[in-house]
Amino acid sequence: MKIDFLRYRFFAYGMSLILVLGSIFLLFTKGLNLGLDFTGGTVLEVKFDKNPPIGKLREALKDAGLESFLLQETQDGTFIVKLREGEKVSEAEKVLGKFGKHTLLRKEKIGSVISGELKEKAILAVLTALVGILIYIAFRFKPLWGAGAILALVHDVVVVIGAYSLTFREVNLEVVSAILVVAGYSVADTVVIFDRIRENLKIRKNLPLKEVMNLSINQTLSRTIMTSLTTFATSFTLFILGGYALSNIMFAFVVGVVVGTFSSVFVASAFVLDLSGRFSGGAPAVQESQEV
Amino acid sequence: MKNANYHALGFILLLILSLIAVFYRPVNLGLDLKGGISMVIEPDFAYAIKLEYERLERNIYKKLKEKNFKILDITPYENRIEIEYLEKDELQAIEKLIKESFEGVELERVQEGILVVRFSEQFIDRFRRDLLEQTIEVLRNRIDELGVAQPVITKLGGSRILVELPGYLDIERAKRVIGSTASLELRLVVDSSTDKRELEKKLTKDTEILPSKEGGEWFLLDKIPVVSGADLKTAYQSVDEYGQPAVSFELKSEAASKFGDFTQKNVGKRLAIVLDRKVVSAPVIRSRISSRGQITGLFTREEVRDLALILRTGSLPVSIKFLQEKVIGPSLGRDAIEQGIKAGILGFILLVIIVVVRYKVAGVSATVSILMNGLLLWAGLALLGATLTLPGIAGIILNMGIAVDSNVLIFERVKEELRLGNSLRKAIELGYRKTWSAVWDTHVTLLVAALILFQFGSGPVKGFATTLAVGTLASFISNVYYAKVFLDLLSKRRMLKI
Repeated sequence: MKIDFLRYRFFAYGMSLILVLGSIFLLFTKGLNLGLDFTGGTVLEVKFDKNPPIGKLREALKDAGLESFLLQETQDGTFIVKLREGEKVSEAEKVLGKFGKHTLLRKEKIGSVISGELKEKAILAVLTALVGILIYIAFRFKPLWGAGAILALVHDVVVVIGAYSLTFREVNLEVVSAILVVAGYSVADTVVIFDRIRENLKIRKNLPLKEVMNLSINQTLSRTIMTSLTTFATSFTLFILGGYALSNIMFAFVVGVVVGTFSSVFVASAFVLDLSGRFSGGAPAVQESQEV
Repeated sequence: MKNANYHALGFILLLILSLIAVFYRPVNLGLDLKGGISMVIEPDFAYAIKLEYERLERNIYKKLKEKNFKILDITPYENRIEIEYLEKDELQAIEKLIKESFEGVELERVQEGILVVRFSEQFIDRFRRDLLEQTIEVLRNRIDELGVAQPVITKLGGSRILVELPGYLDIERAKRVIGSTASLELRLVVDSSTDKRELEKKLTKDTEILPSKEGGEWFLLDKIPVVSGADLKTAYQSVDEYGQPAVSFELKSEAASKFGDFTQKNVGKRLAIVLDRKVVSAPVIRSRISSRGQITGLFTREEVRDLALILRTGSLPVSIKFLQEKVIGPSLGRDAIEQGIKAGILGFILLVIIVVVRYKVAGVSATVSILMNGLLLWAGLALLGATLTLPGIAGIILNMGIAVDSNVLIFERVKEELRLGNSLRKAIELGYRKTWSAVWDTHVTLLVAALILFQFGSGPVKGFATTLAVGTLASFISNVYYAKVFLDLLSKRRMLKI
């Protein structure tokens, strides 16, 4: 079996462009459902003995004079009320009390001092991760190849964030860490393919780059599919069965694995191929791969 | 081949150690899985430092007066003291005196006639550290009295305290007991009135005005208390003469004799009981009182019980702020664990099906390596004393996928080498050697990502990062040591088909 992947790269470019632009568009229009970690405020999660209609509950909260709040019914059948700092928590609790018997599952209150710091820390962690990966890539590959891997990574991260915006799932600290792991995963995936291209370029010196790339992608294809399949299988079961909090974290992996597989096959290699004519591309390796 | 034997031996030793670790050291469950209260607390440092400057100002004033220096005025601010002197010739002598008498102060001549005194940075650092330690000490005593099993009370960075009360859900009471400064003072009443302005006319340097607890009345009081919280030996619930709930206290012997003398001298005057800078009551001193006293004018039985508890455990050095509060009901964590286990088992079964269908016998080997990886991971968590959190569960299950990845990478390569006409032994050898750098890369990138996550520092994410880091190491070990040995063994016995 041999598929000429790179022939379809312009189709892939188009798809990636739509996904990335769509994600950016969503980010600017719909925005993100930022978690309490980043916004500060109070969140109440309750489980009713008998669930009231969510619309009625929302109306009642509005009538009680609450302005900046978010009401959500989770897949577990619990209700989450998120209140901005300064909103009256006791009013919300009173309203919930009117809708029948319920148990308080959790109540969290985070002051703006902490949430501001957490936001800073999250941004710092993302930047550190990117710089760390950049250093690693620069150490392993020539600049153009590094750029390809980084492009694939940014592509994956943007699309995952876009997916959170589209589904309006909560983005909290745990989700940010999950996205960082997706970034690591995406790079690893790309590196495996690049590794193979590097190896093949050494053996088949007379083959054009495009052919070598196609060959390498095909050779690693079953590995790519198997790994994606196993990671997808574990994250998807947790996404379906894990309950609200876990499934919220796992969503990043479910989307990330699919997009990451796509991008390491199409985006990273195709980008290098199309630009290597312009710049002197050549072999990706700056150093020999380690041998045991 | 000898090498492989060593690898096998090392791996078996590691497994035995892991099994011992798993059986003898349970992994702690995080608060998000157990339920309970978690709070982040910060002492009001700025206020404490301001008070420290006021104290220093009084002492400097006394010292300078003793030596008869000509001082126009001396004023404490939030971050400095300003001394206005009259004679320029005296400046050097003043500076010398202050430097010799007080530790940790720095002097600065800002302009003609004004000398600024500041605490040095080291002093402030030490002061903050001490304050944090004292606060933690008091909190620990109070939480012990609340009767919470295995509470966590630790420093969080340089200025905060993390308090976790597993299994305790009454946050209102926890906040009341933890958060009351409970600075109890007995002070002599100079005058009282319902009109604050009237009292302000009589205000001097040694007195101050405080409100009554119910409001509506004001008291002019001596600044220096006769008795303060530190003088208490114990405090307990009692009832007053009308049968209302009250708190009785006993003084330490030294304070008791001082108090005895004071009350004897001031019979007929009023003594204010001041709690957290509010006057609770102000009874008239009828006779000499020495060691015992009673605080009345309180409200419910519960308030009395908690006040006695707080007084008994000492007052906080300074008031505290709650930066973050969480109450997590026990059912949330129970459900999460249950769902996690269910998803974990199902995910594992799916994995086994996938690898066995594709790799047959080698797939079984991969399955064993996932189990090994899980064992190593769990043992690692137990030995590190790590806490398992909700995201940690996600990390463990995700780790199964990562552990199988290296197996896949290697098997696929072995298959390829077989197709090229290599013998099985040779194909295994080549498969390992040629995938080594890719295996190395995937583990390093994940490990780097996990280590960066540690920066977040907060509980749940740290749990995630820990499981990810330990899991990545476990996966590396089980791949390097176990997988190859197992494949070699199978191929020798001609049991392997890929």
